[in-house]
Amino acid sequence: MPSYFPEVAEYRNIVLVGPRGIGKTTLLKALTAPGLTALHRRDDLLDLLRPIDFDYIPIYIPAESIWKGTAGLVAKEIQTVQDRDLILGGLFTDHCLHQLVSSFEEAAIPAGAGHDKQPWQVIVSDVQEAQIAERCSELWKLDKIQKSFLGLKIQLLQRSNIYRGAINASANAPALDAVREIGLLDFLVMLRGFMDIAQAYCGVKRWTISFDEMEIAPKSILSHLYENLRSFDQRAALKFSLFPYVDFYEEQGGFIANQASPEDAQDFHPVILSSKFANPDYTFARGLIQSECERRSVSYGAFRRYLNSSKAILPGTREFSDTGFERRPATIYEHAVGQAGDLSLKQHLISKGIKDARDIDGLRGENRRAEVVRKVFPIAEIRSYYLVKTKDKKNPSRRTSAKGYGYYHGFDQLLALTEGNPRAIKYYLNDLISDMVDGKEAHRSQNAAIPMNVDRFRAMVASQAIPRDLSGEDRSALKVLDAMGFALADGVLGDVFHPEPPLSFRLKNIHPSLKDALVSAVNSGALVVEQNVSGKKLLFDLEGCRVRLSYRLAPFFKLPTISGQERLLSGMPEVRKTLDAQPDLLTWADSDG
Amino acid sequence: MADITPIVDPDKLEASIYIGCLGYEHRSIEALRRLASAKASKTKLLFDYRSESDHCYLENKREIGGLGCVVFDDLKVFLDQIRLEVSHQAAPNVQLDVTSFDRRKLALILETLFEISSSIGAVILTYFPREFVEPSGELEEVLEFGPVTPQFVGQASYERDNLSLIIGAGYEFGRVIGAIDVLEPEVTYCMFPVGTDPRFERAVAHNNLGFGFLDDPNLLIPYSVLNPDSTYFAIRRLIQVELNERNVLVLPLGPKIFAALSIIIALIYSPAVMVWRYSTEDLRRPSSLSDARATGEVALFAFTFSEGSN
Repeated sequence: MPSYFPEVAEYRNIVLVGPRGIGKTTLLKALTAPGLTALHRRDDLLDLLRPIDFDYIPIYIPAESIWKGTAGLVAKEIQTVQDRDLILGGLFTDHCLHQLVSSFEEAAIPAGAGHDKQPWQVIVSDVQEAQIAERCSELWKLDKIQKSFLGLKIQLLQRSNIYRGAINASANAPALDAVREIGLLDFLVMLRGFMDIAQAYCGVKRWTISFDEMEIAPKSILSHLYENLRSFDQRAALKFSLFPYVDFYEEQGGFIANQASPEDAQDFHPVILSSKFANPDYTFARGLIQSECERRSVSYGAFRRYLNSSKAILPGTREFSDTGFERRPATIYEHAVGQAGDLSLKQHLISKGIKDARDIDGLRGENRRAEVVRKVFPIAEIRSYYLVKTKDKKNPSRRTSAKGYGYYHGFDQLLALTEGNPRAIKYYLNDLISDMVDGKEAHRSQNAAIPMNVDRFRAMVASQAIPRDLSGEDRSALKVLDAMGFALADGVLGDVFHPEPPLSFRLKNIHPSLKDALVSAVNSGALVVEQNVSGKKLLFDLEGCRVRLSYRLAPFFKLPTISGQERLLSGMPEVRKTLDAQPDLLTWADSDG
Repeated sequence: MADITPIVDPDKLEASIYIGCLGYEHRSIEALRRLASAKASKTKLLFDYRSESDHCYLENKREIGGLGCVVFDDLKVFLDQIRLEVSHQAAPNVQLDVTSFDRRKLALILETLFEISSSIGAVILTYFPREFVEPSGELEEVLEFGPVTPQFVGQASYERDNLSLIIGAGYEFGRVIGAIDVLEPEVTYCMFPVGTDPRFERAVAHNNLGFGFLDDPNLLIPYSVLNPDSTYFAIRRLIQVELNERNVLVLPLGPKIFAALSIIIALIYSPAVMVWRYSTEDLRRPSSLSDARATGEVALFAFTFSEGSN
């Protein structure tokens, strides 16, 4: 159970923010009537759940993954904005009403079962159901008056098919006429009416309405829903799950706060689940891995040891313990300077009074160790993997095209490579645990799993279609990310050793051609935004933000899994080295011995 | 919507109307080079992609010069002409070469044929597989991802919940897994093209199956590119079963014969079945296009229309 569960479960307006796969849906599904019933059956959770006020009827409204594609088609096929709004608004409203009825049904128990009633349940008799359905049919302008929840749902589905038919207006003009006849549907008005009706017939006084994955809903509707966080209805707490960047005001030229706009902390409580820019907390991720190991009858400790036993981790460079690992600077120095020919590192350390590896272990004083060891050796370490010694005296080392991923091996690196994202963890564990059980060597297993998962993430980023005018300079998210990543890698793996190379970007005067790509990258989790000091603000504007590339992409560029200095980004960054010099993931290599 | 009945020996049919396209791919006019039925058809209607600066377009244009083709570059006029030609003949057999049409135009042509199905004798589909060219192995940027035309937006039904994704795999890197991660279906079937070039099969497998997205090996269904009859029945059976409990979305990547068959089956079950397309190419950017030459093999599928039962 994530630590923020009580925050989200409480009866109050919540905006849950995070990229795909972070667990927003799992959390909101746990707050449905069947979810709450299941949670309360678990003895291990009772102490956590007891203080939470669950005295509300939970309504769960998920988005549909096909909405975005359908909305794109509507934009192409339907000529006027008014008709587009009618169709998309109608599809959205009828979907939400359908989910509203389904959720209410899930919370309903028959009249005779009152003695078992939980706070999140409501007793509904057949007569009450008929009364509610009848009143809703009128309120929701349904074609026929219904006497059951089933009838309501079927009518809503039939009406949503009228909206679908209207998309083909050129061949189906009557469907578009029918949509115009129905007029604009306002889900919130209809929801409020449902609450009135349910209160009148069943006495329901408190609700939570959870809107899940609403970022793919029509933007004009989303901004309307968001505005209602301030003053929707005293009887309902609204819970939204959103991607990190709030883009539903883009059509209106961006978000401009007005008197009606809800305010963080005052009108809603933001829960930011996005990857942490720095100092991540992987407690929940560790718990997930432990659970998965138990489910697959594998010892958690043995799994950690398995990953840490990789032969591709340079011998002696990391000291593993139950809490993580510590770098061994003297050994890293020997590998970097001796094996990889990193004379630039050597020069840097000489300038700091370190002549050879033995001097490092003898360093005393916190400040001195911080200056020479903590800042320098995370960078020296990755260089020791991806630089190779040459015979050229002018350029004693060069970037290697080695396809191995030894730097990224080990249990703690797995946590970083997934950013603690539950879905990413699941993908990695599928193969890694199987390989361990099958007796596959740890370095081979990780060398196969890392590029496959990086490519999978990149494929997801590439599949986020961004509507663009290709006659202009608009860039795809992947192109922009690649330019950013390779530019940073130039600094990390360049000829000259920088103890603190830039590993993030400050976005300043961003060229308009990059804007959509950056938004897409943020929302897919490929870019991680540094939260402000409080860490509690929604993100309406990228200007001035500091971003880093997700560690989920780090092996593609050979970037370290640490945060670093920043550099400015306004346009496409220039990459000094040709991309041909980059190791290729596509072969899902099996190097490192 | 009409249903269809496949014809056992499509190569024995003669066509009086040929529908094809004039494009930048060398194989776009392969049917007119190779098939007697296409050459002999009384009416030859070609859609003109007007890609003058790309690959074999001009060469193709010269080659069809003396064949009596009527060429259109306006799709609406082209579709109207198909309707007109069919109405002028008595139950004509129509040959449609699907090889080089993009999926949207292919869908619109098939929609048109279904619309006038009662006036058509038989439809013969032809497809010429391309000579193998190693794919780039890079992720391509997706420009559009959605229903191929409004006819394929799907239909809500109380009987169906969740999503079943049926993908016709191609050899483009990461395209299948990208679609799965965006659509998040409850179940995914991956139809795998076989029977042309082993290198093509290896590329499809390497660039897509390596991601290990299938929980159950039974969800991987090989289909023969050169045997569209069996492919038709395989897709149809699958859609029929899935429609009993899930919303079905077909994503026809890979060979166009799979796209054509999927679209036909979706039209039979219209409007229940969704057919989507991924668009990564743009005609304004020639670098995103590549030429394709035919291998010499041909896939044939023919059918007559019958009254629909659904």
